Amino acid sequence: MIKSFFIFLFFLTVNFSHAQSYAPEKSLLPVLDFSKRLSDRFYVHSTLQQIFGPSVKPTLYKYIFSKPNAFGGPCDVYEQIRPNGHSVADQMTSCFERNDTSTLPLIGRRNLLRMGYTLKACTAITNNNKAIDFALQAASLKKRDPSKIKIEKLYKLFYPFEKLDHKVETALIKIEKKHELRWVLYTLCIDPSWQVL
Amino acid sequence: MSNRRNFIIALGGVGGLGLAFASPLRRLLKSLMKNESQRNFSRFSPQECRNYVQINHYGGPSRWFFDSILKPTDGQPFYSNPMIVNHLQSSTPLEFDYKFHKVGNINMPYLWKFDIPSSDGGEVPMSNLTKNMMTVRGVHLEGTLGHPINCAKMVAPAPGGLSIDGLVADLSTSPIPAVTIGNTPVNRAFKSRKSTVVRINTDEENYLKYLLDPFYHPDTTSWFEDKEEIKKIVDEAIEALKESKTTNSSLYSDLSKSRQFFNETIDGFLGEYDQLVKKYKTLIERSLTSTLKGINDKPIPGLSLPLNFKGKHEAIEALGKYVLEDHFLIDKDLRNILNGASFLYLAQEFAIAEYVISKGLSSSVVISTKSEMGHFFDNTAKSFAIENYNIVKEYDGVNNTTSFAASKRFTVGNPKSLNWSLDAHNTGLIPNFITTNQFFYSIATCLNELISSFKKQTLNGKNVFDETLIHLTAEFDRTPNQFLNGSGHNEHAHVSSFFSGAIESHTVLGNIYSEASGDKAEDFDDHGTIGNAAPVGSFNGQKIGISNLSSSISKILRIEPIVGRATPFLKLKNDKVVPMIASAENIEGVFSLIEQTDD
Repeated sequence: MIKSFFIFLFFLTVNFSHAQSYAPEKSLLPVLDFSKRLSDRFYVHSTLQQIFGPSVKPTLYKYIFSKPNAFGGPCDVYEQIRPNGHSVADQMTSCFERNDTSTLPLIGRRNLLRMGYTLKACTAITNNNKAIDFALQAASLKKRDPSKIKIEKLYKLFYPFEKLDHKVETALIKIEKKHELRWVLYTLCIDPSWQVL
Repeated sequence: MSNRRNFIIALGGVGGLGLAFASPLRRLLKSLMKNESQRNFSRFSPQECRNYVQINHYGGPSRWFFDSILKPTDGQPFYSNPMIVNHLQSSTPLEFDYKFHKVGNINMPYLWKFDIPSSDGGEVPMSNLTKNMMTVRGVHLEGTLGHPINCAKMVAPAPGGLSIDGLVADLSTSPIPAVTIGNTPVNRAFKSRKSTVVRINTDEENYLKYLLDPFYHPDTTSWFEDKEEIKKIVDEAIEALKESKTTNSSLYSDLSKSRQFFNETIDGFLGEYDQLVKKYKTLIERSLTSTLKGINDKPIPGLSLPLNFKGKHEAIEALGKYVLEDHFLIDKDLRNILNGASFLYLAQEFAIAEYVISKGLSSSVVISTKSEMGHFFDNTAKSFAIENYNIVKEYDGVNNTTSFAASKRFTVGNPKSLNWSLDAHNTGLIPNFITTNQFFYSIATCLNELISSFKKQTLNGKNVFDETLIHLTAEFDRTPNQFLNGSGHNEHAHVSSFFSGAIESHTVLGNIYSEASGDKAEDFDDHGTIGNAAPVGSFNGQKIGISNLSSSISKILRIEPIVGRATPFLKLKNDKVVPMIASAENIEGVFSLIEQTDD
């Protein structure tokens, strides 16, 4: 019994207080909050286009670029050329009919909509054979490359400066062996980490 | 359950025998177990803050028709103002007055006398809304003037700072923490520490589809065959990626939620939502065709020229009550202006609020107008009107009379499309009476349905209405124009009404000046009770400011106050609202911008 009591006291010193218990009257005013800085729609759009090629432009515009609220990235009204009152000459300068698009933050924030649109974009992209071919070419993949090399090259498309973790490599090779490389690309595409600044 | 949890429960059991474990330790054990359950993610896990719905009528329609309580209880000083009317006494001659309808012991505006359509096809008393209603009147906006900044203050009392919906979003456990509909400063004022808001344009075809669009894959191709097997090994790869990038675990949590949310919950949502939209559309249509005695049951004739008046007058002085913009309305029966009137977006606005809050999809919905040119109705009938410049004035100096007639070039012609702005600067007494009464009658109908629906729902074991605060507001109430031809901004007379299960009885707070009766007013500005903020003795002699209101809202919502130094005027006891100030009083006196102090 006494042993149990002391073991219990030991647990007390272990961090169990991660869940927030909010008491407005007692809390100090928090001045810092930590969250990952995510890239904005311009970055996501250009990265995926670089990897998957020009055939994905419509998809990226539909699911990424035209969702500034989800991804961040303000429009620049000074860049707009308006042939008439209702449209802009370059779609990429559109504010999508909202005044506040020009005041959106440069740094994106995590939110479920962002992830949802990323899922949609990646699903559509990796269902596009031209996009897959482009990505394989961009990775300089050769048919004779062993799986390990292929995976490493595809990984580098999204993480050019990172070393491929062994567990990740094993999991991706498993995908490659059972299904097509497009599923590897799909997995890497939906992985959120490459969007972190 | 984990071994650790079993261990803790076992200890608690031993403690129940009252041996070495005294009650403080049992409370500690309880909190440990509570924390453990909070750790477990479920899509609709309990959240600490209440849900927040704000309905913001950007432009500031006159509230004396609905929730500006100008004489809370009998015996309070009240003086009528010629522009502040809510009841049609007679058609011929055309006469209006301001009437009250007692609900409990509180004098509500006349409109509350009526029943409103309900979704079962019948009607219910509008006064049912007061059961869980708190109105705070006589709130001053702390020195800022005009629409934009004061509209933003409805969520962000410190301009540019954090917003109420932002703080709710930060504590939200909903998939979409905050939604804002409309394009006005209150929609743009969302600011939080770590959350984002989904902005929906008012004229978006389907609000729910827009919200769920990221998770909606109607065109899934055959490439997704053998979904389960592929999904499993993709899951394994994602897990491996997550482990390799340990600092991004929250992002992977979002990915997991997105994939789960998408896979499980989209089907059927849109159909259910469509039913809600239809429900509100039907209610609105019924409300627009309801006959309200003393409001729209008798003809209201428009301006009929020529007319003569004693004394020397301009057209606007004599004919102001017929004004709309720079026209005078000349329909034989001005009730016709509402023929065919509709609300294009109101049904969706209430439907989405009901849907996302009661389903736990979101914790905050702020609804405002489509743009900063908000108007009462869409598709109002065109009105026969005469332009100001087509009115010919003739003054007879001998008899000291002024006559007004239509100019010879004027022809009635076709009815005109006119702007029925919520910001009723140029809306005379009569069109204001017709439109604003009807407007709030329809709003009350929708509010009642929203509240009734919330009352029937539970989420995470709690009643949705108990856990939601509905906030009906606009920047400010209005100051009548002297010639009854419109009304201006009154930044010293903000009114907000709140509806929640946390409010257990009908409450009216905030003091206003009685101003002066017509025979005693030094000028028109002093004439009649219009809602100007007055000091509240039990609030340290202060007037209630917008920051105090915001702090009080924060209290109800269980979020931190945005302006820390602004004292709230209520508290929560057993999670129910308890005012800390006396009930509303009218203070005899005249509002002055310059505060007079005793030396």
